This record gives sequence, structure tokens and C-alpha cells, in this order.
Amino acid sequence: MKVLSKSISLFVVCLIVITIWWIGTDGFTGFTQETARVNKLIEEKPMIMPITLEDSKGRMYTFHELKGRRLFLTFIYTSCGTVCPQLEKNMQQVYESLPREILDEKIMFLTISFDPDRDTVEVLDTYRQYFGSDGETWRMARIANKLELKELLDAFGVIVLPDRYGGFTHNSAFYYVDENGRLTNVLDYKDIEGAQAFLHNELLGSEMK
Amino acid sequence: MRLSLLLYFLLILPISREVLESYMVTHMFVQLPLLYAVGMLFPNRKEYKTRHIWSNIIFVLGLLSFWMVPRTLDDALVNTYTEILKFISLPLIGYLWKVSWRHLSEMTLAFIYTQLVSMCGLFAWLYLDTPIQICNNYLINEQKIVGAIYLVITIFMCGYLLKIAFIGNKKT
Amino acid sequence: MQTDSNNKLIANYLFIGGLIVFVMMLFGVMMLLTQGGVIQLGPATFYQFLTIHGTGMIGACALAASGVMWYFLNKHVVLSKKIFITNLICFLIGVVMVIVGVFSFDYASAWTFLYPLPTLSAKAWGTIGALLYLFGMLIIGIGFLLLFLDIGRAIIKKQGSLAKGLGWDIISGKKSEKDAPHVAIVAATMVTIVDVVALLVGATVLMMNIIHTINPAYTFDPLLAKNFTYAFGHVFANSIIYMSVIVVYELLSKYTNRQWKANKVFLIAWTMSTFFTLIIYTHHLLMDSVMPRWMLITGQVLSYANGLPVLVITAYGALMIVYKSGIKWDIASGLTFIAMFGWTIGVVPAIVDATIVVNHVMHNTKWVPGHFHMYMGLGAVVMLFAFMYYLTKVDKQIPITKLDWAALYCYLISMFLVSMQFLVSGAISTPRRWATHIPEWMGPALFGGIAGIFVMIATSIFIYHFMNYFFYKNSTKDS
Repeated sequence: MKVLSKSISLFVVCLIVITIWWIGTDGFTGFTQETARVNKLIEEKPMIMPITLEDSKGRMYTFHELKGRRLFLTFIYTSCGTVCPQLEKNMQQVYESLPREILDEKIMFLTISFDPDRDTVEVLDTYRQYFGSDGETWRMARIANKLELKELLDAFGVIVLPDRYGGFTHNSAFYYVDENGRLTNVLDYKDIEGAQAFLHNELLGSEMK
Repeated sequence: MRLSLLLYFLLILPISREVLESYMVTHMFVQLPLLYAVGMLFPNRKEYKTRHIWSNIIFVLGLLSFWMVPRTLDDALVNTYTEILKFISLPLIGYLWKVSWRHLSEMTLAFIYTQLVSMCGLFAWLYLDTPIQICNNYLINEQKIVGAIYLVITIFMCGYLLKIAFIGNKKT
Repeated sequence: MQTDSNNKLIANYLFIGGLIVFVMMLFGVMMLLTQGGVIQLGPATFYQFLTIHGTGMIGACALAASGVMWYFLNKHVVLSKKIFITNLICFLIGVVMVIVGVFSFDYASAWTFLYPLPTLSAKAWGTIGALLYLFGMLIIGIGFLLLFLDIGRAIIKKQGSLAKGLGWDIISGKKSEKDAPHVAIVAATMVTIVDVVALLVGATVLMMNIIHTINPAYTFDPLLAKNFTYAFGHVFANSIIYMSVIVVYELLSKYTNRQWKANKVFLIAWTMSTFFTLIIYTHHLLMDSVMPRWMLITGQVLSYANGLPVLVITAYGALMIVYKSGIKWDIASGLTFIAMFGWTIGVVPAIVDATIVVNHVMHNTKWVPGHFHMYMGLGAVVMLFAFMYYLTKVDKQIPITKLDWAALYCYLISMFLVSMQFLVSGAISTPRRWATHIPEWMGPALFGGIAGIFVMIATSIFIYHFMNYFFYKNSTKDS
């Protein structure tokens, strides 16, 4: 009897511990909130909402007007001295790996600033030149309406925390929205080759079929 | 008993939760240890006797390591269930450890202790060195402070290990 | 009965260790023959063999050596048999994971698993292979950690502290030399200290690699990672000889009927080697110009001095104890004595390589494998074989045949030739860890491959002899 009750209690405890771990880490896949967020986005594929953008040429339009083109997105603020320049530099490498005609017709690169107070149209226009963006196939835009901005950041799980020095701490990734306006993939922004391979497969692979 | 409950009450107040959870350092190194202390301070009147020592230990170690996963800290902020789990499980861990550890052999304690040294060293390295934000809800420079604290803890734990090994102490 | 079942367990340690060593020799020979141009393995397979050869040799030798240490130490302190069994089980589980990782999932980053290689393999292997390997190593490490913690606990219980286990109270003059701890305890204390440190560092660096493999976005400082990796790998590999050397002390004193007493000089030598072993791993980083200069210079100077204190004291002691003792030479005592010689000459190429100026030219050549094949193959492993013959003799009186003697000579000559072949290759600037060789480099490799076959033949005879231990019915009670 003693041995039995001992092993039952051991079994139950193991079960409880494993269950808590299982639920808490989405079945041992997400050990940080960031991976959990990315996994969830890829699984749920949320629709992009009709939010108004203002780009570096001062044009205003919503995401819905861009429908039919795939989007390759990043979120930044231009006063950032750490992650953002690297993120954009990597984006540039992905951008330059694609042939001209694809960039003209099928996909649009879009950098969105989450700091509309400082990132005005002029600031964005200067910033885009550092990374070889032409303002057309690769646009830089801000979302002037703060409520809309928050809505978009929440939908994409981008968390932006102001630090004490006038900057922000934020998570970074490449986001891919397909031609139907669904967010279908979130890519590691440090893995340039991975992102290139993904886009080539997505855009050129379908052409060959 | 009173001390333990008072501490628990203080920790559960919205204001103290808000203050402690707004910084990574206080969340990790003040709130969590204090919750653990609530369990440690909870008195056990009679001598604790049970056959289920190992069940207790597995529970303690399994959940303690669970709270070391960066994700859980983030989740506790946004997910109510995780927050509730935190306020229930940590005092429980403290209590179970308090009543169980004396029943463990020197070897088991030494093993758990040395594994903790390795873990703290790993966390010190991870939090100090990695350029990536580990907890989405906390600033990256807070992460460095956490790493530095882990480093200090590691150094002290190594020091204690050296003391036991070289100067000698009845407890291992 | 108790000792009987203990000895059987120890025999299992030795047998499993010996068997793995034999299989690893096979991989070694195949690699040399590939480099010699005789057989074609293909680079991918070559690197898988390289990985398993390194991992297996270090692991198996450490396992067997810890069995030897346990055998002798158990006569002086009270050790836990449960822990001893747990270590063996952990080892076997870990080995299976490593083998599956390497052969089923193509993992091949060499046994040093240098960050960030486990993750970045140019698609040669995937996450699963790397995780199997890393977790396998972690489990093996946990087994050994348990074993050494138990040994440390037992020594502290008997002596009061590890400091007293090393005899510091005798060095400082608080106690007289005749109260010195037994030589086996001194050696075991040293090994416990360095290996617990190595294993704790190793666990940290393995976990770091696991995190990086699961999520490559978390990057770490590679230089620190390299330091930790070698602080683990070098120290752990180095400790094998210090575990095995207990055979020399115990066996020679038993054969000569003379006590091998720990005196002040002996204790100081072991204390010095304890510290040196912990800090000289930097000689693996002499080519990393970004390392702090003082660390590299320390590494060079102390590498010269590392093995020497214990080596000199042991070699001198061995000569003294044998001198005019009327010792009866048999295979066990012969192998022990030869192992001392192998250890001594095996150190010489290491000292050459530890010189920074030479290291820049030599470290990536086969000179270095030449050093550790000599050091391990003619030193540590020979001590383990000596113990195998010792155990079969004292426990079961299994007779020694002419074949065993032939195997001894065959082993010594061919192992020496294998080591020399590496050194010659190094001297003609053959790079190490290269799957294919240009024709100028092929000669020595081919020669080494053939010599390696003879090493395998001799080893199989040793193991065959030892296998009798499990079947031979002649019990010790008669004697």
C-alpha cells in the first residue's frame, strides 16, 4: 500500500508539473513571449486592418488600397541607434536580392514608424535614403493617428516601451502579408538568407509552376 | 503565522503589485522571493511526517524552474491565470521546500545546489550578453541589471561551495 | 559478497569503457585510411567519425578511469554504490543519444562542440541532431557530477575537508607526515576539485549551446564560449590521467610490498597540479589574438609546469619503489611501468606546442593529435589495461598466456608508431581535422592506419582476456 500511494502521488505531481509547463510554454515551443507571439501570429494569420498611412512623400492611403500586393513590413523609429538601423540594413539586403520586375509588380517593402511625433514626413524622407529605399517600391511611412497605431501594433504583437532616455525598447522582426491582406509569416530579421529564400520561394516559385 | 499572512496580504495589494511588477529587477528579485518567503515563514505546528518527500521535491523543482522561464514573467503581467498561479504556487513551493529539505540526503542537496550554480551562471551570461530583448514587457537595460545580479549570486554561491569544500562544514 | 558485487560493477565499467575504446579505434583507423587514400569515406562521414571518435574516446576513458579510481578509493572511504550505478546508467543513456545524434541526424561538429558550430552547420545537420548530442553530453556530465560529488562528500567526511584531502595541514606543518592522507585520497581529491569545476562550467556552456540551437536569435560572446568550452573539455580530458595514475601507486606498492607514502613533496606536487590543471586550458586559445595577453602568457608558462610536478614525483617514486624490491614482473606491473614511460614522453610534444611561437605554426597540424595519442594511448589507456590485468589476477587468478604477452608488445610498438605518424605529419605541416589529404601528406596517414589495425588486434586480445572475468569460476576464496 505504501509503495502504491507513493507512486500515485509521484505520478500525479509529475502530471501537474508537466501540465503547467505544457500550458505555460505552448507545448514546449515558446519559452519567451516573443517566440510565443510569432508562433501565434503564424497560426492565426490575422487580416490587416484599414489603417491610414502617411508615407515619406506625404501621400495618405490605407492598407486596403494596397491590396493585391504582398507586403514586407518592419517597425522602427528613426532616432533609434541600436536595433533599427541594423534591421533596415538587413531589410535592404533582402530588398536588393529581388529582381526589379517583382518589386514593381508583386511586392511592396514598407517600413512603419511607431514614433509619429518625431518622425515627420521630412524625417522619413531623409531616413529612407540611408538604406537605398526609393520611396516607391520600398516606402517608409508613419501612422499619425495614435489609436490606429496602437491597434496595428497590438494586432502584430509589437511591444514598444519608452525608456528613460527618449528612446524605445521594442521587439523586431520581418512581417510578411500575402496578397489577400493576411499576415502569414514572421521572420527572424537576423536571418537574411532565410528571409531571401522565403521570398524567392513565395514570389518566384509560384511563377515557375 | 501572522508575519507570513501579513506579508502575503502586502504583496497581493494592487499598489505593491503595480510597483514591484513595473520593473524586471523588482519583479524577479523582490516579489518572487518574497512570495517564496511567505511559504517559508508559514509555521508547521507538528513535526512534518510524510512518505511523499520526493513528490514535494519534484513539485518544488519543476515549478521553480518554470518560474525561471522568461516567458512566465511576461505572461504574469498580461495573463490573469498566470498571475494567480504565481501567487498560489510560489508560497506553496516555499512551504513544501521548508518541510521537505531536511529529509533529503546530503548528496541530493549538494546536487541541487551545484545545478543551481550552473543555472545562475547561465542566466547571468544570457541576460548580460544577449543582444535580444528577452522579456517583451521589460526594457533591455533592465535585463542587464538582472544579469549582473545573477552574476553576483553565482559568485556568492561559488564562494559558499568553496567554503564548504575547503574549510569544512557539517552541512554539505 | 559486498566486494564481489562491487568488483563486478567495476568490471562492467572497465568492460564497457574498453569496448567503446575498441570501437572508437575502428573509426580512427578508418579515418587514417581515408586520409591515406586507401578507402573513400566522403567528407560528411569523415566528420561524423571524427566527432564520435573524440567524444567516445574521452567519455569511455573517463568512465573506465573513474571505475579504477572508485575501486581503490572505496578501500579508504565510504562511497555510495547507488551513485556509482547511476553514473553508469546516465553514461549509457547519454552515449545512446550521442550516437543517434551523430549517425541518424548527421551531427558532426567534433567533440569540442565549439559555439556556434552546433547551430550553424550550413545545413549539414539539423536542430534535432545538435540537441540530441548536446543533451546526451549533458546527461553524461550529470552522471559524472553525481559521482564526483559523492567522492567529494566521502573525502570530506573522512578527512574533514578537501583542503585536508590534499594534505594542506601537513604542508603547513600542522600535522606530521605520518598522518598524511593516503595517496589514493590525495589523487581523488585533486580530480574531484578539477572535475566538479569543469562539469559545472560544462553544464553552463552546454545549456548555452542548447538555447542558441533552439533560438539562434540569442547570440553569445564566442570568445567567452570558447574559454568555457575548453575550461570544461581540457580539464575533464586531462583529469583522466590523474584518475588512472592511482593504479601506479596502488599496484606497485602491492607488488613490491612497500608502502607508497605521501610525503610533503608529494602533497605539494599534487596541489600544484590541481591549480595548474584548472588554469592552463588557455593554451588552446594561444592563437586567439583577442585574448588578454597576460592570460596567454600564463597559459604558456603554466602549461610547461602543468603535468610536471605529479609526473616527476610519480616517475621518481615509481623508480624508487621498484628499486631493489625484488618485484615480480607480470603483465599488470609491466604495463603500469610502461605507462609511466608513455606519460613522460607524451608530455614532450605538448610542451613544444604550448610555446606561443611554435603554437601559431603547429596547433592546427597533426602535431597536436600526435601529442594526445601518445599521452592517452601510451599513458592513461595503458594504465587502464594494466588495471584490467590486475583485477583479473587478484580476483580470479585468470592465467596469462603467451598471446597476452604478444599483445602487450604489439600494442606498445603499434601505438607508438600511430603517435609518431601523427608527429611526423605535423612536422611536415599536415593540417589536422581535414578529411582529404594531398598526396604529399598521405604516406604517414596510411602508415598510421595500418599500425592502427595492429593496435586494434592487441586491444581485442586485452579485452578478450578481461571478458573472462565474467565467466571464470575460480574464486578468490582459495587463495
